[in-house]
Amino acid sequence: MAASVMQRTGALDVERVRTLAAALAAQVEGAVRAWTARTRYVGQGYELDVPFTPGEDGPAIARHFAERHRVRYGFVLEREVEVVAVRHTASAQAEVVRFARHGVSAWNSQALVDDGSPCDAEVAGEAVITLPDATLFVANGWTARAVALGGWMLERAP
Amino acid sequence: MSGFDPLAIRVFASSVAMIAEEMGAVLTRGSLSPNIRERRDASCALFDPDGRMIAQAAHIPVHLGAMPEAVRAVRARGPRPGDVFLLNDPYHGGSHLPDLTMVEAIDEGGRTAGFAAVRAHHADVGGMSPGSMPFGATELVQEGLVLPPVRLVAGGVLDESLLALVLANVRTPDERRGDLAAQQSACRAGAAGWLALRAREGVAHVEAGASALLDYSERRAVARLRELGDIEAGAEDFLEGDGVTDALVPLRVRLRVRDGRLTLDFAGTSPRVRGNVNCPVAVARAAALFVLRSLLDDDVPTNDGIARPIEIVTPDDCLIAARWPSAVAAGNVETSQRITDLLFAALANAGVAAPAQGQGTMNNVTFGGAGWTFYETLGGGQGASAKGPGPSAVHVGMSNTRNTPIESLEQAYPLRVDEYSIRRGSGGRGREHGGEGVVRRYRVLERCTVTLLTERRVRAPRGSHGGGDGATGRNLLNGEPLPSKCRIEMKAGDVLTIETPGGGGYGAA
Repeated sequence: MAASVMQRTGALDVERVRTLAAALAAQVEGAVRAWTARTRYVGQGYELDVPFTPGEDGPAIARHFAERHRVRYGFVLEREVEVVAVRHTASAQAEVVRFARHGVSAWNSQALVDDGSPCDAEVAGEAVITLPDATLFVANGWTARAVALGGWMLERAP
Repeated sequence: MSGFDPLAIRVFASSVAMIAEEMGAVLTRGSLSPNIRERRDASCALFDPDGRMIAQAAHIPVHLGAMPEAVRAVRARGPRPGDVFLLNDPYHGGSHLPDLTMVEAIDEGGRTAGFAAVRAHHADVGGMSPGSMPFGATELVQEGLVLPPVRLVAGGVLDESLLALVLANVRTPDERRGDLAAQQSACRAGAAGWLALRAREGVAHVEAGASALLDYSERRAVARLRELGDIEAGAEDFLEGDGVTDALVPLRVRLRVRDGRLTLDFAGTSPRVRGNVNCPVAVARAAALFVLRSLLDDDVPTNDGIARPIEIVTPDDCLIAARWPSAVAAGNVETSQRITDLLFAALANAGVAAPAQGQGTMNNVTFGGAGWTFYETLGGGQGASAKGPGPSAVHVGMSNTRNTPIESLEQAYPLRVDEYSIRRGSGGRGREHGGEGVVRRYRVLERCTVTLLTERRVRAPRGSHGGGDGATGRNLLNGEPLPSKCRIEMKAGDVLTIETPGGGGYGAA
């Protein structure tokens, strides 16, 4: 969730920041919550995302911004800071996703056709492997190794 | 070129090009003035330890051939590893004074591993007129603070007294401080990228790669010139006054291609003039590079190699090989455009397929009020060619900037844009139409000074192969015509209208 702010940090007291944060939080469910302020020096055209917590005020956000600006650009300015927008993410326990190979035919080391079926093949270059949606060229001096979750790992001989 | 086949060169070229692009990203994201952060009136380049330009981000063509001069001027001052130099002197590596150039000698364990250079057009560097793009200047010192290459950072320490001196001589010191800090940051990004590449690939590999890359671009440029055959032709064009008088200022060239080498002899071009349309020869070199670059395929890497087959010959006293103390502010932006037109015309006269003339001006508009200055150039019509119509409302030739978004301009300055539109009917007619110019109408909210440095208000961009000419541009104050180059005082509520030229058409309609 995001909301436009366009205010200088000096105008954002604790209560105003808390209100902004709460308004976003009320729109979405989730156990783990985080807030960021899109922040820049007055006059700049690009922002840096600065994490903050409800309970902090604008000057605290400005300090976070200055630190991040120093890390990113190597300098800070004695200049007012403005918050362009605030953003909120709320996340919950995600379902576990497991990638696996899925196909119908067994691997054939002569035909070199991979339709996605489970296999643990290694193919030394120079070779051409036919994939479901592409053609994989294994150059001389390289080895292709089938990966359990799908796809191939290409490794150059040392 | 051992070890570098065309594929390896391509990979290496992309590696260094991305370092230059990242420098540009850091600059625009960290800077304050709309002219740099929005219009991208800046260029970033990377040089090897010998001062050869390995890559330049494709930002501003007029900086293309001029940046190596800046690094050459810095190297002549004996930079120590890690030193950062600042300069803008057109006669010592600069182009015109608003272009402040920062050059860092990249420190690799106590030796200089290369140079990172960032040139950016600042909205004010002092002088007789807000915005430092003055009308009527006759000496360089009138145009702003002149900086020969000076050591801004020595031994990792910023020279605060030097910075204070610079900031004390400009009208908008806070904005300048921020933009200079962003330039330094961009240099650091270039240095970090270059050092990382050398660490990852090995110094020997990278240095060999740099040589192979330059040789490759040279081979591509020479091959293209050889395709043109042995050709020779002349051309003539004019500037509409030098900013002091309205007398036409002639530019002439004899273009010759022999065995893959391009010679441009500017005999017959005007001597230096009193006004500020003079330019250092680096600007002429940039125009020549731009024209040759435009003849090459898109995939040719942009670096010093392209310049190798070009020879420029100028008379001793020449408009485009100016010497101190000539004023040059408009030369970089307007004379450079005319040189470009001239060279394309010479190519066309030699039978090479060249487009019709584009708007041929950058339409330089500079505002300055109490505590603020704003500079921008405006797009117009590009010339049509045998391949198709000319695009409308684009920066043409030596300018490759974007426009200033109205929201950004109005947020930052006491200005309102009442109209920003395509200037319908301004493009030349023809089998292929020339691009249309734009109409930009500013209303000022408080008293301010405005300087206009424009061209093609009298002599229209010409069509080609029977195509019609583009419309000349117009400058208006409250509906009344203004000269092409002028300085005016505006009060709250006054309206300035700039109608930019259209491009020439191609072929009979």
